[in-house]
Amino acid sequence: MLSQQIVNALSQGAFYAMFAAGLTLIFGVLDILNMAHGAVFMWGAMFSWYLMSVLGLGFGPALVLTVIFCGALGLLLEHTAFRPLRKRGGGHLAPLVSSLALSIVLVSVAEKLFGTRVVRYQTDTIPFQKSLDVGFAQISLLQIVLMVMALFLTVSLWYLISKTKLGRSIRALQENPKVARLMGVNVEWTITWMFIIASALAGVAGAFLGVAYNSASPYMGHWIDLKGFAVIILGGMGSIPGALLGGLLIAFAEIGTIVYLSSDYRDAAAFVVLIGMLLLRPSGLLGSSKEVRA
Amino acid sequence: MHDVFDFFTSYSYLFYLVLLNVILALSVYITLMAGQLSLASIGFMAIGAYSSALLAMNVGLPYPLSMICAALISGTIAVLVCMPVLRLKGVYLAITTVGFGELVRFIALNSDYLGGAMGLSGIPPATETWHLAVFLLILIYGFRTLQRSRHGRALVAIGRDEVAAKTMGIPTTQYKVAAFTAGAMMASVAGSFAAHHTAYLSPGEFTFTHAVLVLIFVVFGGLRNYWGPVLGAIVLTLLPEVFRFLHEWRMIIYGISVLLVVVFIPDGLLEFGRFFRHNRNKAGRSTSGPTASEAKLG
Repeated sequence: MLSQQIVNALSQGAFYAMFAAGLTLIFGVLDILNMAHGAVFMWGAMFSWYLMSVLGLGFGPALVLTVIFCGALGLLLEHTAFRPLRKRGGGHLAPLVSSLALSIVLVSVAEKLFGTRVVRYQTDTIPFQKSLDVGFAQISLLQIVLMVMALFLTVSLWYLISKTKLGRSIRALQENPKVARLMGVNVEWTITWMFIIASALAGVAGAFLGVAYNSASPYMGHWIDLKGFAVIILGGMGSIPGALLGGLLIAFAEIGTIVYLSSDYRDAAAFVVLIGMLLLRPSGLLGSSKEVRA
Repeated sequence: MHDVFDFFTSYSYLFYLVLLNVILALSVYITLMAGQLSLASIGFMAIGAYSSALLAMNVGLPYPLSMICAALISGTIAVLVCMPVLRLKGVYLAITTVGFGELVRFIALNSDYLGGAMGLSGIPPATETWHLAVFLLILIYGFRTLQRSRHGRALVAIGRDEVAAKTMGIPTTQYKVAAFTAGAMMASVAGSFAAHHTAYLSPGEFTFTHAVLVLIFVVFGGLRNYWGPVLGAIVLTLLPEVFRFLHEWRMIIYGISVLLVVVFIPDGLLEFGRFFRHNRNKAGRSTSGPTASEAKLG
């Protein structure tokens, strides 16, 4: 029983990590909280649901198209909500509100297109339904795919940032945007790619969450935004391995709450952990020692 | 005269909603004046609503007294909460205060005493729309006095640059605590008004989405002075009502309007007129609050 819960927590943590990786990438480099990340996640789920259940595509092609679509949403996000504000320079507040506004638009468009109800997938379109009995727990193939995918994506993101040319630009930007520009880093290009990558990751997380729970709705982005904030603070803002670790810890805290207390308190667990972390060690488990206190 | 009366009665709920949102927007604005991005208002609104309702129902306190007691409870909680929380800056503070609001909501959702998910019903109705109007007038008078006073200038100085303000001898922590507590008590009063207006409370009225909408009111209107949040709350409360005939499109228009204002009028809707009045004296504005683009927020 307990080992089953551990398996569930691991796969739940994998979701959180995939979602939070993009959020932490943008926050760590640009110091911006992207409030539309949850809306992109929701579009990842709704778009893949549409492709699979209405157009009858398989999960693989649907996932690829979802990645492209959500990457395009990231491009839109960067061009409408963030770039104009960056040109002017300024604090946290304006980009926070502009991304909120865009998230309202994205959610309302989804409402208009797909209706306000929770949609279900056709059972035969859900991939990896087989489940394996490994003696101590039942693991569905989907959970394994999800965990492998989350691990693969976070490792590739980490590789991208630490080894490639784009990654070097991102790190330079994080260090000092002005100097990075002087050293010939194409700042706008780098930031645009960061938003595309972050949004594509959110889309993948959305597509997986949709099939795993067999449900999707225009409002599913709201709660994951809050969980994402908890994850990135716990792991340390801007740290990709931190997102993985934070995601797992939040998932374990939640599953622990369900097992030992009550499922009613599940959503509170993330916030108790979050507030405790902020008060004790606000830079997070793996965060840089950037100043976070007044 | 009769027509005017008719107009007020048929739109009375809308007036109430506008006034309530203006009070909430001002409660967020006062912490923003001191450069603190707090989203705790909705949490304190919930505390105010539930305490006032329970005091009226279970203790039998009469209406204005239950509201005052609720405000004092919220104020006390605010002082206790902000001691550790106000050490955090900018986005960290914002996320923590979101967490606070959500925890308050979870407690309301899971406590049988507070009615749980079913909500609390049977609250004695007492709020009239004019009560909110009177309270708002007092608030606006308070903000007007504050903005011209030494304390108001101190808050603005902290909002612009906390380290510099501290260097100049301003007790920054006291001012931040005071601003946070004042915001909490204003939100609490708004909550009490709401509880005694509809006679029913449910945790669903105090979500993260509401907290965020109030912040949007403030930034949409502008942060230069207290008329910004007032204007923002009025416009954004009426906007979905005016466009009601557009059905699903109205929230899309709402989002796009906010986006356009934030992107193209950096100082908020209040400063829209200044696009056309360049010759106005800009130098005499040193006593006003920081704009969205100027505010560093930590």
